[in-house]
Amino acid sequence: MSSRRTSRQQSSGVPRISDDQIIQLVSKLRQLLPELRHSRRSDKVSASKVLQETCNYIRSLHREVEDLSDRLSELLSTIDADSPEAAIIRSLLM
Amino acid sequence: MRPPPNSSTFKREFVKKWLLALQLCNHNNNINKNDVVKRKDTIKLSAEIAMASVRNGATCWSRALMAKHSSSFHVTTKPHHMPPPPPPRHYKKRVRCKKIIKRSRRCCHNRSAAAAVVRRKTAVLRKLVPGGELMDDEASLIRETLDYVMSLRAQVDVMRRLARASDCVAMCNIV
Repeated sequence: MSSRRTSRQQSSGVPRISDDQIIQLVSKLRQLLPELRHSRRSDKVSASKVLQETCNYIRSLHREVEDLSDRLSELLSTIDADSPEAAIIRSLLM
Repeated sequence: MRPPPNSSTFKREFVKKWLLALQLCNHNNNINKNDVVKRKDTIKLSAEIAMASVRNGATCWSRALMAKHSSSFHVTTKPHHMPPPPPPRHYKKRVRCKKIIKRSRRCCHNRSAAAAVVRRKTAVLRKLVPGGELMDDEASLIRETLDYVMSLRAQVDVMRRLARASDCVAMCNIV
């Protein structure tokens, strides 16, 4: 079995996920988060903080989808995709 | 994992699919036009399906969402260029490798306390991202999260613009 910490590649040819890669992914996540994006680059933000903010952000996006669905259900009296209102809306969105 | 389309392409595709999904949902469910609650559920469901469908099976989260809704939606999806899911044995090897690494780290107490916090947060994240509980390694989970967050943001942006547009249309109708 070659799945040892020191070996760079597993025998199946799949590269081991390095800690560096995880750090890079976490920093990409940080760029997406409105709370953390504007903090100075030199500030070290822990992985757990990034994960926490990500969870908070996803929850707030879900809440926003709920609220917008509520609002749209009241605003849109018909959801017929062929209606003239839908055509207007489509042209405003695209 | 295929990289996501750029934001405006995603939004265009999303709008097309959303309008189609709304039409299909209406047709399947015969919604009473005065039933606001049902209409809200339809809007939310069709938006979720449209968002997943734009990614077209290229990500685990989109596959999980399509699977979740396939029974209520009565539409079979035919993803065009669906990459094969990663073979399970690679995941098992990675999990074993990670377990060995995690075990050897446990001897360092400070690190293990921090690692425990990260594990807890990761577990919460797994519940929030569709299909998260099926992903064994952290890197996949984070990649899926990145893609999911970008898609969610685009979805929210389109819905916001639609709400504003509907407001405008409603005001024009009054005037």
